[in-house]
Amino acid sequence: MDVIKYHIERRSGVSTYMQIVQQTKQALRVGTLVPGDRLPTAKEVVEATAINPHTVLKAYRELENEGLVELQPGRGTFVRRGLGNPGASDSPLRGELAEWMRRAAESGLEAEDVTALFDACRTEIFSPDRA
Amino acid sequence: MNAGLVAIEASGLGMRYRRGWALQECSFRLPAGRVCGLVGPNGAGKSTLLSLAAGFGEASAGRLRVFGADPRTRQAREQVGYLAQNKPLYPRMTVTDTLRMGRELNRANWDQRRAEGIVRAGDVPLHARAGSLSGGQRTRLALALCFGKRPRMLMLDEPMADLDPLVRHEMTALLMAEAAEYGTTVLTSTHTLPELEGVCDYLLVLADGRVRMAGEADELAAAHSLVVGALPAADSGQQRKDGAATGPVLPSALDPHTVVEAQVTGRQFSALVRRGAPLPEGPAWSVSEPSMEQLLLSYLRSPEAPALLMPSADLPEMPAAQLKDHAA
Amino acid sequence: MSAATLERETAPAQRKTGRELLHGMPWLVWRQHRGAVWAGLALLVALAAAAVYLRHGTTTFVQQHDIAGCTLFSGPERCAENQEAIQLYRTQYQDLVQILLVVVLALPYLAGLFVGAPLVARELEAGTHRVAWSQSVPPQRWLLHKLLLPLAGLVLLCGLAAWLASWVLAGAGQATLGIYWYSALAFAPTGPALVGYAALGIALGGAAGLLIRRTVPAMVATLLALGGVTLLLQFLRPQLASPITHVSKAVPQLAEDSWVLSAAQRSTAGGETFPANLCADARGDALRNCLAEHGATYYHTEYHPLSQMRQIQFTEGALCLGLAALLVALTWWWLRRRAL
Repeated sequence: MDVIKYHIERRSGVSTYMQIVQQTKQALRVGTLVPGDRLPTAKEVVEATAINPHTVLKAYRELENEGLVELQPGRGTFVRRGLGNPGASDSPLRGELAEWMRRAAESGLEAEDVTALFDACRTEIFSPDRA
Repeated sequence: MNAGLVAIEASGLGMRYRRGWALQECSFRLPAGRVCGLVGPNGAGKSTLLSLAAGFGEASAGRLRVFGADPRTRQAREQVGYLAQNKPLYPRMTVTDTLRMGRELNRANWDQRRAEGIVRAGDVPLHARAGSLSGGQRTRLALALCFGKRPRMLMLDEPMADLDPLVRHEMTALLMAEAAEYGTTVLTSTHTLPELEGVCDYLLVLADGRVRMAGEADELAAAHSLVVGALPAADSGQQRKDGAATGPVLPSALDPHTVVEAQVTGRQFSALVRRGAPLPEGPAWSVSEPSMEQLLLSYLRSPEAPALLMPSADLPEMPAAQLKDHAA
Repeated sequence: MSAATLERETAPAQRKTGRELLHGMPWLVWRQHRGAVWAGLALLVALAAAAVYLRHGTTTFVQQHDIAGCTLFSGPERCAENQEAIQLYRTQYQDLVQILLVVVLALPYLAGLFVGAPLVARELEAGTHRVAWSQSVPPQRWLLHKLLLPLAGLVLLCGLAAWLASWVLAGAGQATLGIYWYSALAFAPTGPALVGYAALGIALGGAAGLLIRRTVPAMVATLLALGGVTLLLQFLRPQLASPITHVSKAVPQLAEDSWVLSAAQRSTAGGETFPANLCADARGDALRNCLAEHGATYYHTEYHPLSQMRQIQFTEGALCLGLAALLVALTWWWLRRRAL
């Protein structure tokens, strides 16, 4: 039984393997994937999505490198740990961000301005050069 | 699984028809185990290359090897599945007979269960004549015939050209699943790029019968940068990038790099460059990685740009520099 | 239970019990041409029936009217009284035997046209040769099977048909019926030459198909080429065996079924012949003197007796077979170095 189904958007500009990584992480965050679950095999993913099997393996390797899953030869790929859920409504970070956005709205920023500002800051903080 | 093996090796390969050269001085390698897209405009020589590799004729020049063997030998034929353009089948043969033909003509390695499995999974009526099948069913039968042969490499000439998006997705999934299960090397040609997105991990680009680009899809893209920015003032001591009088005057920061294609619109320029050194963002331009489509289009539009072969696609005895000379 | 599962269960059982006599390329050739094979067999049965009917009819007639070995205006004594019976015999059977001969004579041309030319051309036209070539069988092997198996089948068919026609003509009596072995109509269909023409028809068809790659033009080319070869061989035919030269003082009495190449002509003892109009104006003694003056005291005749028939037919058939073999070899070689 499949525990996760990947939806590949070919024209999104995000590489296919990154889409698999992101969707897996998303499932780990919201709890649809829990430790012990077996990820679908490359063949199963490929049959459903018509993508290159090497891409699936590459994504799984990336997830393994991050310590999220474990490749057990001959058995499959299993989830090792879940991801914290920073999006919960009682999280202090969320509260601070909501407060910041309220102030942005009061100072006359449109939603798009907020997004642009948010993206710019995120790039500044999280860009690989800084890390 | 196929590490280090070479599926196709061409050196100086040329093919001349009455109308002229369809392939010229093609030298490249395709490592085994890849899913390779063979891309190029119509008339670029894709079909010629595939039919030569399938052993359909003798090359006019150069050398072609499939898993180390002359493609016209039985040894090579047994290892290669080939689905020709328009997916020919004997229209008056039933599905059962078509599979029997596969069994009779591939007696050394035919896998009846695998072939029947592919046909059955698509609910193709076994007693229908091949000529009466729908496009998707025909493709499925043709693929069953290819996979029943248990090929180490499968070559497909525009396999999805006449299929609707739903069937195209289904056939691609079938192809990829078989490749995943058996580690089959796949070489599939197309002139419609989106067909390949997410499918190919290797690319072989042909134009005018010559190799323009070959290598790992992601590395090819990563080796290039798309630079967009404002043109420097004409009198500020910048040199003309390509020496041509009408050529755009690009910032000198691009000098260490190979400009594949440059376009100038008003005061703005956009250039696709092959990086010769790290290329940081500049004060007046932004740098991004090109999409595969942008990369291909740039190479196909600029025949004068030197060909690019990644180390895995390059022949050791024929250095890239020499190839560039040939292509130039 | 669905139809698919039912099929899944019965298919392996069928495979076990089904007789699979043919394998590999022979199976493919059979599968593609089994309709033609049945048609050929039906034609052979029809020919055999017609031959039995004609042989029985003619021999019975000849026996009943005691005209064996007779011909119009010549033959043994008893024949003189049976001239009317011979006339009747000819009106009754000459046309029928001729129709049989025409049908048998047409076989190699039909074979070249409808079997030989489409063999390769139809595949190249539809691109289906790529199906076969994508399997493990090399194209040259494919070509040889495609050409040689139908060729063998047609050689067999034409051999049997020629034997039937020869059997009918022998029973009917060439001289009595007035159809002679050396006529253009009877020569090929009653002997081994037909086999050669059949082989040549297929080989020409195959070569034309490979070169032209379109069915209808290949058919036309095959017909023209085979017609050309036929005319050429018909022209050469008298030379295929050395004729018997007959020099005698009297006009020679040759068997009715001899193929006379040059009719009795005045000649010297040494065989030197004179034009037919030698001493044409002279009569009686004047003629004798005129002839004596020239030393023309003999008659000179060249002819092929019936006993040479098989030799000539075999030679012509062998020529055709040789040409066919050459063409198949050329076709094979051409395919070897071409990309299609």
